[in-house]
Amino acid sequence: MKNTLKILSFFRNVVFLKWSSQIVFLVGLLYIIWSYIQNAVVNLEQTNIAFSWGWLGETPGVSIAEGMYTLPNSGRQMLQVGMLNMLRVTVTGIFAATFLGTFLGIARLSKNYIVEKTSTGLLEVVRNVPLLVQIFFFQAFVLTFPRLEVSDAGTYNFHVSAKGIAFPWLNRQPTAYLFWVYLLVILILANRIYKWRVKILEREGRETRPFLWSIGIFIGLLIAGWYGGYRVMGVIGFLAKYISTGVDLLPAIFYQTLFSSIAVFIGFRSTKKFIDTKKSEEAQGIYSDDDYFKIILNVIVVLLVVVLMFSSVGLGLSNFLVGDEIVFKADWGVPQFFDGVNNKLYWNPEAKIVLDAQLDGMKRADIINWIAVPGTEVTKGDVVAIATAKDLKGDLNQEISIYAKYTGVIEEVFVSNGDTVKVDEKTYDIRVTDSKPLELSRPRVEQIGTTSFKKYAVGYGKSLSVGYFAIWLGVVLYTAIFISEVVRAGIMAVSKGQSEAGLSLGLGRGALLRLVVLPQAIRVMLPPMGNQYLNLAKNTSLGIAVAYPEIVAVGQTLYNQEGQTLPVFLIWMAFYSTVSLTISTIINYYNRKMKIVER
Amino acid sequence: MSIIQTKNVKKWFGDFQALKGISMDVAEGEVLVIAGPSGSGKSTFIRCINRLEQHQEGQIIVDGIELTNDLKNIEAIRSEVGMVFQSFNLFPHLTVMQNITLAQIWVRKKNRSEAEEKAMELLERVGIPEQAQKFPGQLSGGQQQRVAIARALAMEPKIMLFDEPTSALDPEMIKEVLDVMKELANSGMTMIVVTHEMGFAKEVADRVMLFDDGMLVEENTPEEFFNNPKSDRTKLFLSQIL
Repeated sequence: MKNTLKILSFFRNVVFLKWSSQIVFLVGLLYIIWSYIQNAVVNLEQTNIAFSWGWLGETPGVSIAEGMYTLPNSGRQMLQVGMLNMLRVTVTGIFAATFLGTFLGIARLSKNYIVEKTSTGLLEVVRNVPLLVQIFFFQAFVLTFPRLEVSDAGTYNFHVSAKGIAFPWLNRQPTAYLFWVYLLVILILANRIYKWRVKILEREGRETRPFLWSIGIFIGLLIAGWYGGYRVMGVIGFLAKYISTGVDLLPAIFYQTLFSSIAVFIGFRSTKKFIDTKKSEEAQGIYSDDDYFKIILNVIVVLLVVVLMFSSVGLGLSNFLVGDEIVFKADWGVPQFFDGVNNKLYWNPEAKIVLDAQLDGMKRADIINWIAVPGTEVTKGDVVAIATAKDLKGDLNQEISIYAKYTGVIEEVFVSNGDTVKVDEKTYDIRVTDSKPLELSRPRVEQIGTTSFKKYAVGYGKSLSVGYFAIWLGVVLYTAIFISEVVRAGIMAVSKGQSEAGLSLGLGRGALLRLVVLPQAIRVMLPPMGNQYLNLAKNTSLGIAVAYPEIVAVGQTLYNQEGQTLPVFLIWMAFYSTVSLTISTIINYYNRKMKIVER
Repeated sequence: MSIIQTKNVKKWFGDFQALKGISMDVAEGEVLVIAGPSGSGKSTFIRCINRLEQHQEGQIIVDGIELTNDLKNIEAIRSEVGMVFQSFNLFPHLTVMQNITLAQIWVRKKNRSEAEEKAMELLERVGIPEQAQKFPGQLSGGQQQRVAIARALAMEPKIMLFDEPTSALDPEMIKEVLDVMKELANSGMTMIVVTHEMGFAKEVADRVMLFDDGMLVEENTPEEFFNNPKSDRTKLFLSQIL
């Protein structure tokens, strides 16, 4: 009798039930994951497609409509183009949507009847129509414009056709990467100078004009930088070169071990921290069942990561970083930055350039003589070619611009004598010149060879393809509308008393908004704003509908080609998670920073 | 010499008439207490004086400037008239010091060190110099209201308006705020105080007014007001409040 009771109580024991149910659940979950993976592997083997990352190194043999490389030489490069295309929309889109959304949000609160009703009307239209429909609409809108014809060839201020939209733009030259770094450095410097002057002001109580000082030094350095000073930043390139070489040389096993160790370390540290909190006075070293589960789960997650790192998944990831057949450094859009610095051109304006291509697009100047043989070295100021401009239509006094560019080790070094001429026939020397980091230019429509294909010339003005325009405008407008509601809610959340207090102190409307209302509204706005940014990032995947080659479109092309569906899905998930987590990390950082101090 | 003059001021909220023709004068250096039941229009009236509410009829002249739709006049008057609110309305994202220096820097165009010096001087006057670097959320209600008074004084106003400054405070904290206000009154500041603190009115006020139903019912010296009121409405009010 006593014995049976004991057994019964064993089954009625809450602690036992809790433990056993948790363990059963965990084992079940692991079994489901494991069996799914097994199942997938077996199924793929049966269809003669073994799970592999080999396709990353193979040439996919397809072209991409736009992006950094239109003819990618490996699966990896193709994915990189997709990722960069996606980020191009996301990053510029987030800024544009924030500006537009803030403007619309304030407009919705305006006391001006027309402004308020217009923005409300826009809100109702955009909010109530599916994003996909809007993107299709923008695509259809551009496609109603005529196609490019031969007669369209020439330079414009603004041009719209079924090929896209083109407008003047400050175009990056190869040295632009150095210039951006320079800009960042002097921005930080200006900020430091501002703080330094404020400190003196506070200490000595005299007017030190911090703003004038920092803006003055910033502008001075900007001018000095623009005329060549930015090349100082080339020193970073030397360091980067060594780092990238080092990254290349280490074997895959190093990265597998490295990532595993990081996982073990993080797991160990968080577990230790947790145990330490339990050792405090209040906790008295007592562990609840959930505490044990937490520790066990930590161990399991760490083990899972380690196992994963040494499986084919981890090998693929590590191979990304290894120079084996897969090159990391030169493929990620920073070659000009890394390699260019070592190529003395950027370090020293007088250095040599290797000449390695043909002039292109000279449809109206029909005779070109190379003086410097392609493949030889030239220096700044050298005459590399002679162009004879002749208007093929025999149209006198027509403006003809002579231009030449060549590609080489460094992509698209711009070489021009910069002249425009107004005669029917004349010869010109084409000299090697030093390009500015950014060059303002107007869009050109050019003919491809002697065919009837026309396109917007690369490097002249900015042309947006129909797909890019549609997806960009679509996500920006759609997100901006939701951001405007966030802004409106944020401003309305600041109590009326705050405005009244500001007004009673004599602050003007602008100062009141800037100093009192917006700083408080931003705190309310940040978390929902972060959600909108995440939505924008994820909605860019709709680009596939308008043939914009972002990561999903590119990935789909790749698995249609190679049949490797699972790896592509893994890359998609990893990529979107990385982007989303980065966005939320930044938002969380600001959120913590802006928190109002309370008791 | 009157610094504030109002003539037949009327104000409607929709079809509810909040002010039914208020005419009064306030002399320079005078301390005026406005009493009255809630909804009698006393808060609305003093909010009209610095244009937080807009009157629809009548005239308000502050320090020789008439309040019209001219934005320049409105801003000029607001920087001459300080206001203290029932709910303090300190800026929660700024420290006490920044609360007090903000308008000095952006409206009076003082530099920071001058503004901070002034702020410390005022914080000492209201008795909480040690709280300068704290945020409003870290202070008690009484301390917050004293900061709010310092913030308004930092603009060196000619007139101070108090809109029920002690109504949101615990009884213990009321005294510390009233002490600051008494000190201010003794220093010769022109003050209009909307309050239910009759003790303050007896002790400090030069004149007491009773508002009821948007009208000025009684206007008297404190002695006469409390001991020998003219109207029956005042007698009723006093019998309920005392």
